[in-house]
Amino acid sequence: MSRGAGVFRKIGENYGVLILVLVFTVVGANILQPGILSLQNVSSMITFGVEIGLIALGETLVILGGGGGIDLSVGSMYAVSQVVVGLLAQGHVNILLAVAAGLAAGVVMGFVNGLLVTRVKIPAIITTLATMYAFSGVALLLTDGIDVSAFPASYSFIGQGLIWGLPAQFVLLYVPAALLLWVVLSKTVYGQQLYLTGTNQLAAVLSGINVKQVRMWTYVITGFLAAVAGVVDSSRLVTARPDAGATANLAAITIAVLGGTSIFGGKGSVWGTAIATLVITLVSYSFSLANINSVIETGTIGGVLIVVILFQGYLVRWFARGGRASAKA
Amino acid sequence: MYQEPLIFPHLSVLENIFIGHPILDRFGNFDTAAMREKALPIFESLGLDPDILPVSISKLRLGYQQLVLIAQALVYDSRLIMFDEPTSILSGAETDHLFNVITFLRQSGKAVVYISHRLEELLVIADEATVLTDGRVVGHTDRSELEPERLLALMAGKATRDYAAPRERKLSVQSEEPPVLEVEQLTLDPLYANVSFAVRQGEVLGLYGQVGAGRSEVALSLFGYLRPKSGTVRLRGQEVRIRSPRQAIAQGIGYLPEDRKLQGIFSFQSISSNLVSTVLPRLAGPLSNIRWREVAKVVNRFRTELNIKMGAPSDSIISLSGGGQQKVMIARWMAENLTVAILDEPTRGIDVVTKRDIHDLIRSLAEQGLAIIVISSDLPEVLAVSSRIMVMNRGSIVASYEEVTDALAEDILGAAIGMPAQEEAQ
Repeated sequence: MSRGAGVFRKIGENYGVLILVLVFTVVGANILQPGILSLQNVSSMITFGVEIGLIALGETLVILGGGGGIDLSVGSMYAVSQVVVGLLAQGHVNILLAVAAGLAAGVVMGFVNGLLVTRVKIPAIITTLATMYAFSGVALLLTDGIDVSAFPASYSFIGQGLIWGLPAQFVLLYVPAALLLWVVLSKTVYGQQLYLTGTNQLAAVLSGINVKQVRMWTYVITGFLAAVAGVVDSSRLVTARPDAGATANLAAITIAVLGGTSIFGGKGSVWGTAIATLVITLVSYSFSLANINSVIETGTIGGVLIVVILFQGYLVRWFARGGRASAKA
Repeated sequence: MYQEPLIFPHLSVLENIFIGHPILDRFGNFDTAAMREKALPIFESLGLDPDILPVSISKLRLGYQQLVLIAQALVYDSRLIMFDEPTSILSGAETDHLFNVITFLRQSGKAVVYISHRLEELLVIADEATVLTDGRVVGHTDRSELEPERLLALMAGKATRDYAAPRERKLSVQSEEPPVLEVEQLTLDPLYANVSFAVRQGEVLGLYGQVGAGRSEVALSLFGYLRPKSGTVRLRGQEVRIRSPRQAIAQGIGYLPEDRKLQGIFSFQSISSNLVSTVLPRLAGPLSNIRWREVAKVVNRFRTELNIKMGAPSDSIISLSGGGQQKVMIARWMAENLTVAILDEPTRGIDVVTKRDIHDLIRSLAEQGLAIIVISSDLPEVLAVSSRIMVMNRGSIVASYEEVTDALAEDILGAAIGMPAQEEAQ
């Protein structure tokens, strides 16, 4: 097989269904709402997608690390970090310092998650379920549950500014973050060790890989990315909301899984998650633009998820047979 | 009867006995009284205490659970009862009780098949014996011929037959040279106790024993995966405390795990990722970036050196045969600069040709100056590759042999299965 065909097959196997779904979504959105792909619409869609997209990138790493890794607290970390920035800004702290503190809060919360999962050995789903409530409580406690909006005017640039006609947060944050993570996953020792850990934890330990540390980093990175997303959100709305991100937890997991991340670990990629973010954003955006009940929107997303998972297995087998329709014939 | 009692831990003893075939009253509920009535005489004949019937079975000791399950077999009116290594979890008193029960079963006209590797037990209770080796019947004796020597000869027969091929390369080891690895009084209750031995450069130490004798546990302790409770380990004369496999590797100790699928391979990952999993940091550039060209070099080196038949290095490890996978696992350690290599069942589940390749490889690695410990429950293998042999049984070293000849096969086997007469062979 030529190298070109091999690459095609790899892309087909890994992203085939996802790309098909994306095409369907684009066509469907166009029928539902003709002209949805105007420059302006695309721009606001991207604005929508960046925040959940950043969080989903982190979630991808955590799930990829295997051993039941999952982070249910991303939405709460997203809320805490923006509240921290908001409160410091309200107290007239330099906005750059405030943002740094917000991001640091994300790192600390991610560290707490990582510590509880890898050292105290509480299953990730329980740890992060607990910290989901705990962090959310912190955000409400800090603000008495009231939105904070005392940001300097310059702050709104991150969430509202444009660079080359594209949203600033996309160009300055999402694209660099995705590229960086792609490099880390595919080109570095850490990335390889993360895939190996996710594939077979015991074999990884017996290969001398520091499994705990490898997993610890996935939680820290996720905390950081959730905090970045929180900053973007508060900048976009010029308001820090302690109750933001309630839906982000499950949405991030949905995107990661839709993007081909195996819930058992060892499989997943930045590209898959990026495409899945696009699909979900497109569905959400076009449904709300067409004024369709959000109940139907959530139902559709669930349906898409099931279809993709079912066809993914089929497609892998199809490619394994060399593209013939059925092995039984 | 399985080796480990198969129970439903949260149900009572009575419910466990009648599992699958409960006696029901006319409302379809459990008729506890009727079941009890049926179970009582059986309990009596087995010498069991009827008070335990309503107790949850998980409260009983393991040995007692085993006996309760015999009651289950009797309730079903079984005529043939098979015991698979029933004494492996029983204490001495429980074993006696079990033997009484078996005698009772025999007298009441049941046929009993008793599977065991403990010869002394067979001598006590068997009427006749059949010897199985590697899935084949190699011999049968009736009561008159039931002697340990005869059974051992049958069991070892294959070992000496298979390896008629001479070990052309006798390893010459300078015994004055200080050992690379010295282990003293290493203990981790209840897995193994007071294990002491030493390995020199260029030597292959064969560690023979039955599965469960504690060999892998000793190896995993040396490799830092398990923590021994007491004892010392010296590496190149220096005492070391190894707390993780990572530290062990840094000290030059490698461990090829016994269960390739569970502990060795990364199934969805490529052949190259699998091969370099232990040496990744050393193949990285200044930014921790993996230098794929170096990886390819390493993979190609071992592909030729070990004659691994594979497609592209980027193919999944699963595309290789069992033997190919095992070669990749071994290459993983050859890529490291090891001082001591521990190979746990290096040829389990592997075709004959690859097996020979691996044996040759082990010898030549030792000639290049590596100290090697080969753990195996395959006697011919131990005889073929070792320059010295040590035998473990139930967590301790029971015999060791400085010279290896095929004539030792019966002695070694006897020591491994705890034949008292053979233990003085040291």
